[in-house]
Amino acid sequence: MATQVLVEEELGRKWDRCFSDSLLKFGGGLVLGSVFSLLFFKRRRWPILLGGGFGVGMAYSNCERDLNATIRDRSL
Amino acid sequence: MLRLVGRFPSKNFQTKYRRICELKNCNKNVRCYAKDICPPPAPKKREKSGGGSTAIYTLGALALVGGATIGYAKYDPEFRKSLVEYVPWSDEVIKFVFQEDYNFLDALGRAYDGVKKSLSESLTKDATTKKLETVAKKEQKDYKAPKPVIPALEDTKVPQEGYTEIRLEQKDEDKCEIAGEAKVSPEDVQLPETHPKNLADLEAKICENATTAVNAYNQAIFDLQVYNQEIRCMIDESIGKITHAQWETVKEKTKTKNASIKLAETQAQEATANVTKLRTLLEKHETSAATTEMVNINIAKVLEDIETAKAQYYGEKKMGNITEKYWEKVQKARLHFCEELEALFPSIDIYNKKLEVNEADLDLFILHAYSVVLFYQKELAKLETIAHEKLEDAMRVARKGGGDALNDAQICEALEQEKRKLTLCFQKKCLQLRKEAEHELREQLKRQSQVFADHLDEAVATRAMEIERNLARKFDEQLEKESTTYKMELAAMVGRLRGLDTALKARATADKTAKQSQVLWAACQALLRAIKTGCPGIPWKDQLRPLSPEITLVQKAAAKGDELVEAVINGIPPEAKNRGVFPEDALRERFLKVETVARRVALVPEDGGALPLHILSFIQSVFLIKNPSPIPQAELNDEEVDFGSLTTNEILQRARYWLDRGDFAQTLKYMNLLKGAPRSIARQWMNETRILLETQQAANTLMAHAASSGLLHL
Repeated sequence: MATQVLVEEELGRKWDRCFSDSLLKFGGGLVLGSVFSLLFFKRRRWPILLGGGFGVGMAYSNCERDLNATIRDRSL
Repeated sequence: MLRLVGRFPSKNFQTKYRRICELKNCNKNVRCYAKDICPPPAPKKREKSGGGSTAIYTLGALALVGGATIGYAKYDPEFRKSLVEYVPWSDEVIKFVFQEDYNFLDALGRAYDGVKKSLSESLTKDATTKKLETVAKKEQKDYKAPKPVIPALEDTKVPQEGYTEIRLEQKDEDKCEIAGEAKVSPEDVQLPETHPKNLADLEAKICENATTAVNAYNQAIFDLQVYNQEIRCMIDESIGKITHAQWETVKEKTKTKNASIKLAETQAQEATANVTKLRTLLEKHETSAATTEMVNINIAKVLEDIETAKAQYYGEKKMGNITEKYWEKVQKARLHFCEELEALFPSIDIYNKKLEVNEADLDLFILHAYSVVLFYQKELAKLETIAHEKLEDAMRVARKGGGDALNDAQICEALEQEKRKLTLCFQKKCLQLRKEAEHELREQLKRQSQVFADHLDEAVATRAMEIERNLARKFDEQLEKESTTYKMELAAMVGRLRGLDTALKARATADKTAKQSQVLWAACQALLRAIKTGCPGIPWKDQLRPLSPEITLVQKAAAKGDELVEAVINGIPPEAKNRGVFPEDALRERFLKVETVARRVALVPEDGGALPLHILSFIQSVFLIKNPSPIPQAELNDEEVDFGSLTTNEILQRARYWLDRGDFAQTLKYMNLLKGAPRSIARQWMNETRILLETQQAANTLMAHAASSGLLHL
């Protein structure tokens, strides 16, 4: 049945989500950083980068967790 | 001409055109289709009309040329000869065109007549009459000859009728004179020269015969009349006057009468025979209706005449019967003997004209009459002589003297008379006695014959009974024998029938079990097939199909209490029954993806790893190249191999090798060696494969079982 979750495809899906997620987070981080930089940090560059970094870091972490979960999962 | 060819331009032309096109349009980014792949442009309307006019031109040219040829052929015979040699039927065409053989109008007229004739023929269906007409015409020509015969016939008829006139009789009381002569007219037969001479001859003969017959009859009649007259004369006169000469003449007359009668009859017979012969010949021969009618009329006339003559003769004969003419005299004679007649024939009626007596009694009567006559004659003679003597004596004595003698003579006379009376009485009594005696004799004879007949009957009856008894016995014996043989046969047949019955029943059961095994086999086959092949064209994910229908089919097809089938079916994994099984093709397809993904996560351990490890693993998989020999020969030869030392890639290689060769079991075995993340990736696939393999094994077992049970019945 098609509704069954297929492991090999799940991984691929996860990777896709990873990328999109990282992009989003990065973007979001940048935006937040830029906001912060604008608001609190006198338009310095480093909050933007920090924000971006935070975003990527979060994405990375999530990605890793997800992928490992897929691999670790015995029930699938 | 150019336009016709222009549809398929030459290759050079094509490429040139394309290049020109490209050069022209490459800057404008206009698409230029190559001429050879695009459909050709639709033909323009001008081409059609052009074709039409061409056809007209060609036709005109042909007509002109043909006409010129024909005209020249008519003019120049040499050319005509050569043309006829080379072109068939040109001669006929030339003839037709120039009306050499016949006129058009004539031809039309003939055709029209022919059509009309055929139509009329079909309508009236009278084709046969034409044949007859032609035949009849011929025959009419033939029969001109007999026609003169027929008038000749008619001519002869007239003198025949004259015969009745000519037969004159002068009845004289004193002398019976014969008058009139039978005249035979000569027959004038015209013998025709043509074929039906026989018929004419026959006709002539008939005429002859007819004339002679009628004449003979007339003669006979005449003779008969003459004879009767003579007889009458004789009887009218007293017996004494009749002289011997008259008796002679009467005898002669009787002779002539008989002869003429005979002649007449023979002639009549001959005539009728000839008539019938002529009739049959006429029927066989085909003559025209008129001729046959004429002949038939003549024949009828002839026969009629003969018949009338015959009738006349018979009439005369009847009239000549003595009893008719002399009935009174006969009656008187009868009355004279009435006593005797009544004694002899008690039931007779004297006044009846016809005397119905039986011949024996008649003989007796005649005998008596004859004896009476004799007696009378004798007595008379005696009387005469005695009386004469007595008288002489008396006269002598009287001359001598004394009249006593005369008295004596008278007494004697009286005595004689008495005696005569007595003898008459005696004779009558004699007759009576004789009659009684004969009667008695007859009675006795009858009784005797009766007794004899009875005795015979008895004997016959007893004999018949005996024979019947014998026959019955023999028949019973035969019957018994036959019935026993029949019973034996019947018993044999019944035995055979019973054997047949049991054999058939056994066969039926065998067939049934065979049928069942066949059904089981079919069900197993269906199961196998369901497992093996999926539906082509559907993505492998959708090829899942629950196997419960096939399994129930197998369960139904199996005999009750078949443990193997039950066990095997219970062994089938439940996922296969409920959810279904991925067929091999689906698993193959899936494996491809599994393989690539497993390669990608080859370095990742089973609990997962850091993301850089994932990425590294991915990069590693990118750089891997497909090995042309995935398995070393040693491993294939089943030599000892340390399977624990195989890397993911190696395992996957080997698994792929075996999958390509369709050995799912081996693939699964290799896949089972995977460790870490690839194992997690491959786990589902392995599960599916395991389910498939299990189901396959079950199906194969069932199949084998079905095949084996089917083999039992072969």
